[in-house]
Amino acid sequence: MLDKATGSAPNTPEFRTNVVKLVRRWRSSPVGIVGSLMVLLVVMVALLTPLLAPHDPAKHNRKQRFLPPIWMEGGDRAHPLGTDQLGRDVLSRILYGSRISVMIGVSAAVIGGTLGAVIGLIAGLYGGLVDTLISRAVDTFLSIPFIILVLAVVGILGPSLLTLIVVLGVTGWASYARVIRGETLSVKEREYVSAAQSLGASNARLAFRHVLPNTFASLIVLATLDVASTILAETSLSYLGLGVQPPTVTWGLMIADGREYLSSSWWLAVFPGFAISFTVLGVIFLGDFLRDILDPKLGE
Amino acid sequence: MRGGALRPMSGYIARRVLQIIPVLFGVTLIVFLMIRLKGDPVQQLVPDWYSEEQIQEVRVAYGFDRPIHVQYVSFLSRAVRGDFGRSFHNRQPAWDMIKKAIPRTAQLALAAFVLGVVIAFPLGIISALRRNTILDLAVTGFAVWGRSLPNFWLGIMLILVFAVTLRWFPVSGTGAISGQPFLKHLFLPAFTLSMGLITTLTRLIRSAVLEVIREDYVTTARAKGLRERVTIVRHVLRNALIPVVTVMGLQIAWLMGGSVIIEQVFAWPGMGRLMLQAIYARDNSVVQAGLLVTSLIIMVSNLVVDLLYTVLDPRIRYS
Repeated sequence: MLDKATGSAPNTPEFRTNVVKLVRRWRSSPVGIVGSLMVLLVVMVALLTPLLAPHDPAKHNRKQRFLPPIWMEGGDRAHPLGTDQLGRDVLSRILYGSRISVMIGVSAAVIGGTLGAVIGLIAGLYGGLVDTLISRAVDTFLSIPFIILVLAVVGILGPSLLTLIVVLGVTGWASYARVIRGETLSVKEREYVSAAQSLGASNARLAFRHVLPNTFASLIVLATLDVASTILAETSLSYLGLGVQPPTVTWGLMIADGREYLSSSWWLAVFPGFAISFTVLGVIFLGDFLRDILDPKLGE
Repeated sequence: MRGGALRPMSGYIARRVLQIIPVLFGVTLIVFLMIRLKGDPVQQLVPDWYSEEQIQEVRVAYGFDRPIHVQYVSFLSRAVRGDFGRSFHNRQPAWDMIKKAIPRTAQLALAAFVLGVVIAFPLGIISALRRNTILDLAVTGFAVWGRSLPNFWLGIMLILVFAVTLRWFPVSGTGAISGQPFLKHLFLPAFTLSMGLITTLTRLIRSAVLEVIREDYVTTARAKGLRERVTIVRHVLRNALIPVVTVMGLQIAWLMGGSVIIEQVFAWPGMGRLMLQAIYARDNSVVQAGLLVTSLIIMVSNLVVDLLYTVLDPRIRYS
């Protein structure tokens, strides 16, 4: 199946031709190209921040507070996007802020995806009571608004980088489990899988040999789009003061600070928002592109 | 597809309502366990200078000294009666506080819903009918970009432009203090909250209209000389409505979640803001009550949407 490009096991000729197809599809898709370039840019910035940032993001400078961006009157060439209430360089802070968002977005999606995939696999493979229990748990988690649950749990545990990653990851398992369970059920119906099963293949063998490779495409698509919503959730948490705490720089916190000076120094709240939007948009483009080529039936 | 095609509607409704029970049960369990994630919830509530005896007193007073399953059963039996305990801060029953805030959130959510529908329908339809024009590109671009905006930032940007700079709308609050008309206060937060709905609905309506427009009955309607507007309203819209209704159900959860953040941005005294203040203050009874009530609202609205769905599309009624 062409649409299941990554579904085949690695190192087979089939896999290689699928990769070639994937690259060809990528080259003819503007959304795919733009999305991956945007994501690449953000990841590079996050990795190379110390080399790229013109200033120390935490360095106060009393004499240079509230400098406007370079194109406005009173702007300073040393601070292209201006400075904040403590004289810190906005551009450097935005560059540093990318690290937290990228790190949390990716790690939470990996945790949620792994957890959800395992649980979904178990539900689909074993069926019966196990499946019923898991499905009800999925329903339960999906009827609690994600962001409120995360806020409440982080509020109880106390905000820290690790707490955020774990809480955002663990609370995100349900949607993965639902999709992977469905995929598992449909793969189980295929002849070669039921043949393997009747030949006495164990559930673990079925899972790793047949089901997991076939659900891989959906998993990748879900995880990519999940990175986008996790980053949005992380920035919201930071904005509300329940994210990673200062002196670590986060985009959400920059906007929260900037809100205080909205009428006099608008740039403090405006620029970090564009950084968030740019990052999330890149991830969404990439996710939409992957969905279109890997798993069109996932839909919205 | 179990059973015959003629299983009565009431059976479906009954089954669907019954499905809520285990989920509701699950939510109470999560909400109950949540505040115990960090061990003893009492330890986190009392001031540092409390002696061990005083802590024990609080523990006994709130029933935290009993075995955990006994605590859960008592939590559950009280919750069923709307008793979630009292706020640790102002000693008011948590449910009373939530109850007072619900109308504010409802106003906001309803306004956001109306705005979302009113804006998204024309955008989606125009975009589909003028497919691949600049107009379509602009609408689709807007819908995609909207997905990437953090709603708290969007709110602040709207405040910056329309409240701080242009002064068309007040910055925050409900009008009790500013004396400005209530609707003026409602508009910015409602619009911010509706953004997610607008982008999702616009894309959905566009693709639904594109799909329906190719159907035979639409061609027939056109061929028999029906005016374009009549064709669209009578045939295209009605059928495009089905996927839209489904998504609206899902969007209720979104609106509830979004309202927490947006109520904070606009100082809107609703349930979301109340919960957030309770989270900051570790006022667990209020957090628990709020989460349970919010989840219940979501479950019930999903149920309503499911039932509405069967009315709109008789084909799926008994499946």
